[in-house]
Amino acid sequence: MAESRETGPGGGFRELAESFGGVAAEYDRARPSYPQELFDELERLSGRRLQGARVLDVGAGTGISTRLLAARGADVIAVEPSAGMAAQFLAGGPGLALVKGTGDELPFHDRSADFVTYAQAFHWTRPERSVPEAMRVLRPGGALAVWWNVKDSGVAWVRAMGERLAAALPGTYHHYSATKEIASHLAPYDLRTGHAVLHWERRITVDHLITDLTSRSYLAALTPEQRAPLLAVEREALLAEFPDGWVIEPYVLDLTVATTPA
Amino acid sequence: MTDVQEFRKLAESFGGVAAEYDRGRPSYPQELFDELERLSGRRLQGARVLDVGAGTGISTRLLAARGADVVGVEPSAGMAAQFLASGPGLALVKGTGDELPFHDRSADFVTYAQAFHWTDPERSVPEAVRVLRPGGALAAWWNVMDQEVPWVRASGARERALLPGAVRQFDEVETAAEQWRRLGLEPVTTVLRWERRTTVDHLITDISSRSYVAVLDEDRRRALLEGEREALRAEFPDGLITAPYLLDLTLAVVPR
Repeated sequence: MAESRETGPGGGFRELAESFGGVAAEYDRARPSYPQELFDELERLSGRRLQGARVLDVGAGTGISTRLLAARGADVIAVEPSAGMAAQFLAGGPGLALVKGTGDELPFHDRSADFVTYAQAFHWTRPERSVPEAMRVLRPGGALAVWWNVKDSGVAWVRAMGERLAAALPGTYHHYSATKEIASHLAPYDLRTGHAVLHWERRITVDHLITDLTSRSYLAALTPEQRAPLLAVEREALLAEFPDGWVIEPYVLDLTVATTPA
Repeated sequence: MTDVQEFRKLAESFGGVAAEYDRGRPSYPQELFDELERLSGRRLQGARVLDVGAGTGISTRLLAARGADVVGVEPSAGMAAQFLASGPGLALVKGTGDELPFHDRSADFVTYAQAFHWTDPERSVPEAVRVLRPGGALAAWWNVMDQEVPWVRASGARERALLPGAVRQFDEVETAAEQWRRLGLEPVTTVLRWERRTTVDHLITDISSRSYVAVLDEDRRRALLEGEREALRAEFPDGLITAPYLLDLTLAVVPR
């Protein structure tokens, strides 16, 4: 997200990053998941199978992506700094390994992983540290993969919602321009990069969508009193657009895979 | 050299002898894991275990074979490379027991196989308590050759004569149980006797992987190992040894 780089990792950025701890349950329940095609593309662009691969899923949050990677047969270790997110991750069931850490300083040995993945998380790192860290822990031929789900602003109601939030939250509202910046963050390094964009959609209720919004850092960082009127406006606008309460939410899933020299 | 520098040098010596360590060091009998379950009141099957100071993964592999979800924790790059070379599938993290890279209340067991003496108990005990779930267990164990057996005692005496002050005397330091009690835990201990059939050559490989031997310069190291080989050959002319071990287990359950 461009906004984070502008304010830098001081005050506002840290506050936003730490806001997730308080909305971990909402995050886990409402955030969009990822379609299987994402993992097919990940395997195609990296030239590696996930089955049996050592994957470090960084910024794992509540484990949405970690669980999907494990279901593909990967040996996943999740990495997450937030205590609140970790508690939700651990409550989601046993069996998945979770480590406390960040992408800027990975608690792993050199050449110990086949994939380093960032699901909706790379924009919380400092790329000048997190990219070399990923390269250090990857085995030769291993892949750094970053992806973001972004609501498709080519659709009118999505664009209108974005404009309302941007007007209400100047300075903190962001949409993921990170997808445009990732190429420049990877350019300085000896990496072979591939890129894919997947279009998909999910059918959810207006209530579900409001819960998702609640878990967005720019709203989670507000007090409940500040947040309530903004959510009320969004609920009203959505119900006007979707009178039966069901929304088809369109997503653009942006994937970049950078492979280290073999 | 200060004690701290000396300690650090010993701790870091393992990187250079990781292959010898993996090949030569004694493993652990299944009875150890039965005792671990009995004393903790918890099954290993499906438990989240953090195996700290995992080294080349000797204990990590055995814990995984008992059905535990194990993560190995190891600071040394050399040991980690050996751990990773031994096969995929086992999770390995870079870290130490004094600063565990895990969240509060995220583990059922924190285990130290032949490793707790490399930590600072003032830090490693509170760290273990922090990452353990209520009712979880901190466990540390050591294989020590049984000094009651004459040839073992003789071997130890030869090493001490060659390396005055260098050979760790486990009985002269405060025991883990005493340290843990001082730090507020209520540890229980047990000792298992077991033996392994091995060869003189294998035992020499084991001795070469001990930190106080690994730090020696090449000449002194060779002199010590050749002296031992000769003495063991005299004792066991066919080259086969039954090595007697005492396995010392200390365990404390974190209050619920």
